[in-house]
Amino acid sequence: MEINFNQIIEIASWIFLAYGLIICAGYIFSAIFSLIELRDYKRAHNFKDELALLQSSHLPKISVLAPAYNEEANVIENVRSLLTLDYPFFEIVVINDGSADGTLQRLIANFDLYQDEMVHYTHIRTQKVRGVYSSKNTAYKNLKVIDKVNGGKADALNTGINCCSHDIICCIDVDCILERDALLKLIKPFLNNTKKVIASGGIIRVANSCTIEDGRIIEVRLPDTFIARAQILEYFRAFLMGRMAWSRVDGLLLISGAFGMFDKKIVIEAGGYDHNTVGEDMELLVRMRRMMRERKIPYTVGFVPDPLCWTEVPQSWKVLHRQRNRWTRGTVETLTLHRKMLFNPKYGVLGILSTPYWMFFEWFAPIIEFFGVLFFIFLMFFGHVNWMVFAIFFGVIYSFSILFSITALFFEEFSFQQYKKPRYLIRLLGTALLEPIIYHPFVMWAAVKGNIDLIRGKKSWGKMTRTGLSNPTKKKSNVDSQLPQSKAAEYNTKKTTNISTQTSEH
Amino acid sequence: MKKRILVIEDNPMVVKSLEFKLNKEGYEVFTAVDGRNAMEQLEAENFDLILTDLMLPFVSGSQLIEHIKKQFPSIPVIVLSSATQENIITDAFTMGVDDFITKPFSPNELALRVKRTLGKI
Amino acid sequence: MDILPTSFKDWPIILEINLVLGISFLILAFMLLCVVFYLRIYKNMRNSRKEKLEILLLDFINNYLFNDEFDKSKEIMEFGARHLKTGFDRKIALKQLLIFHENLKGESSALIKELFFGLGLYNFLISDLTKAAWYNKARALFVFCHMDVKIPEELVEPLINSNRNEVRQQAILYLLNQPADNPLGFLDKVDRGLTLWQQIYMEDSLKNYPGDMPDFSKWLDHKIASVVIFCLKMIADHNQFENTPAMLKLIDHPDPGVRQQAIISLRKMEVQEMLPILIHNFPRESTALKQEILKTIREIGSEKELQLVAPSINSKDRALKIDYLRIARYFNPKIAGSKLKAFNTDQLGLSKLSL
Repeated sequence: MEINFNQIIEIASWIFLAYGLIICAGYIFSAIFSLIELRDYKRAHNFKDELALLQSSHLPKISVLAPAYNEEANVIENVRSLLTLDYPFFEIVVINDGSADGTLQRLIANFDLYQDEMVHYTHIRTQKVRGVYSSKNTAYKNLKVIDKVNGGKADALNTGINCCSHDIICCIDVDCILERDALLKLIKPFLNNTKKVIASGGIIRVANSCTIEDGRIIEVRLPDTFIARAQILEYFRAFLMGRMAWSRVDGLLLISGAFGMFDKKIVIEAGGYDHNTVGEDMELLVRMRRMMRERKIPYTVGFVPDPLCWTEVPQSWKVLHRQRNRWTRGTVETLTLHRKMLFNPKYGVLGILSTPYWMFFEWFAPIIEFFGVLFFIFLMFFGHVNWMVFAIFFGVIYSFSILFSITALFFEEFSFQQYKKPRYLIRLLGTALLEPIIYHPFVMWAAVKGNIDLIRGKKSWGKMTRTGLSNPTKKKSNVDSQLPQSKAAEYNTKKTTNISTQTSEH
Repeated sequence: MKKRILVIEDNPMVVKSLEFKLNKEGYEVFTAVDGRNAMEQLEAENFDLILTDLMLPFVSGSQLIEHIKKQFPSIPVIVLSSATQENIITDAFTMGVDDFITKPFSPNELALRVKRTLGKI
Repeated sequence: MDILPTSFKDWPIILEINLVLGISFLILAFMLLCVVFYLRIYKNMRNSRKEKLEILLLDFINNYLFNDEFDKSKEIMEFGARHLKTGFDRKIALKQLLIFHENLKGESSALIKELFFGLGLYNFLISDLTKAAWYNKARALFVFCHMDVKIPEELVEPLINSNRNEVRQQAILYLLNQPADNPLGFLDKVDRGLTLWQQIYMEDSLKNYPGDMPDFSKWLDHKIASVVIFCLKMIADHNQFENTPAMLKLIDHPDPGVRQQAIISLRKMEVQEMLPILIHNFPRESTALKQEILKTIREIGSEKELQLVAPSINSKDRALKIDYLRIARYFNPKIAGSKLKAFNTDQLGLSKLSL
């Protein structure tokens, strides 16, 4: 028995080491790539010269799509702020996704809206549109409001895609705060490339505790709660290190639903957002990339590291749990839906790097970690824990997570330095020291729970795996059978600010 | 009495230069760096002329002009904007602005146009 | 502690590796932390220096421009010697001067140029231009171009073929902004496609070009599609109607992008002659181009042309059908009402249609 245990422990620890080394390698590469990418970005944008852009009449026109569900309280203020974005030609399309409150009435009253009888396209099948509204007022001529039957966020965005007039769409969460030059910055990858650009995404910043007035960030402040600060570190790691590096090798798989720009034609050809996954933002980009690859058209996806979009992150453990649970389900759903791409050299970087990365680090990592903890408890139960060994192993994991967070902190300092006060730096450091012990296990559990929920709910999700790249409109009956209430509940807590975080503790 | 001018502009360099130049021309100059602050000042004080940019934080220039033309129809408005697209300029005149100056602007010419617009009323 | 004393001796290597790794992680983390703090202090110092200098500059430049009692030559010497000591200081000064130059014209721009030379910024940038780092070169070219300062041409020419997109762009823009007879002469040498970004900046520079606008038709047979597209845009923007025959030929160009831009430009110029060609080509064009043709019919054609293309609209192509109906209604508001209703309401029963 003793020997058996030792063998198990030995095998487990070698696996641990191998896994750890892979993670370290990934970490070093992402650090180097994002350092180069950030440095080049800063150098290339050394001088601001946006005047020519603002004056050009050949700039692509943008439709900003903002789905709103029961946003009565803030919708007016948010839309007003969207209307002040700096861009010569854009329209704001607010999609009222069957709100049960007075969202639509408030919009109609505040912006002098009237029902526009225009026919709209039906590129993508959606729930019924009850009406399209425009304003009688010249000052709001860029505003369009669509009233439709509730169908979830993906469906709302698809309706927006059908009804909007311009070729570039920018999908946002109506409650996120955009910098004024957000559109100008995000359109740049589309302009500055000889290859076809199908999408571009930006960094999401944490708005909690910041001073916000009339939909603008006045002062960037560090959140007061630990849970929000831990998420700030997570976002640094995910965006400044993770996405930046992926962008360098053109292997981005995810553009946050809270703020992303897409080529409308490609989105339509790919079939629009999929209602049947909770991770529709990731799924769409993967599907678009897959389609381009299969058609053998050279293309790229842009990424802009400037802080352009600010959003509130969950402040309660319960909401955070729900969010992470959903992200996990979204990731797993997307990966199983596109499992054909995994390790498939036909898909280039996506096949050999991005999708395996997502599978091992985003999907499997929390599960492996969870089993590690179970194994440890098992050993403890049988009294086989060597505390010295435990201390060393724990020390490695802990020091690695600290190193990881501090590197991310370094990237923030190097790039945009949003948290100006010295006090903030110290507090973030403290958060980095506590995060692996308090915050991380919780997030890990939420991810594991997501997997469990997915397996349990296998039946209702089972149909989804058959769809693949084929026509999403065929699944109509499937959508109808879903309870609208549950969909709506999810909508509300749903911040599509999906991020990827490479975790380290396994 | 000195004529009072409200300058609404978010570029600190332009604000400072306009203030400097218009002061030299003998006007009393008030400045607002965003649309919201401009609204507040409009409520609190009287002005003889408003010089505004179109792209402003919080409240856009066109929203601001709508507001001014509704609440204070007698105050002349001059737009100072980097927009050169025809439709933007036409829209501004439709909303009732008195003059449209494009950036880059000549400070002397701007002073003249301010004088002319003030002379009309 | 000593539950498994024997097993501990069995695998010390792995423990050792882990221990070493753990310690090196901590050391690395600590070192990085020091870098973070250093960066913070360094950036803060730079920022406070920048803010102070900006206020000084703003005041100085405004006095120089608008204050008649200002002793210009004396003050300029003093300011340069006292406040512009490092490269960083000069960069800030350049930035401020550029902002002034961008916003002011007339008599003020001459004074701003005076300041540019007076403060020794010309020499500073020339030395940047000959240095190796691409971003310094790009910035130097950018400033020269925006300040309308002429520099020896042999310094710019080699940079047109630079490997860095940014340097190429700035070199192109610099040359474009030079008062020469042939501002677009460099297009003959262009061997890579122009990005939309470059096109927009070129378009912007041409707007301010003081001489006669070049004849853009010279490059309509250029081997690179984006150059042709750019010229097509410019012909429409600058109303060079004499070029319409050459443009009409491009409606049959092999590159769909060129075809599309030819249609757009000709539509802007309201060239009716293209309608028969478009109607002839309609059946074999892609949906995007078909939509472009429909839009053209709406803007410069009539119901007659619309009816001519109608048979070629595939009933499965919903987007085209909708475009068609919209235009039909635009030409004749009475007919379409009931049809449109039908369109809007049957959107849930589209089983036959594949999208």
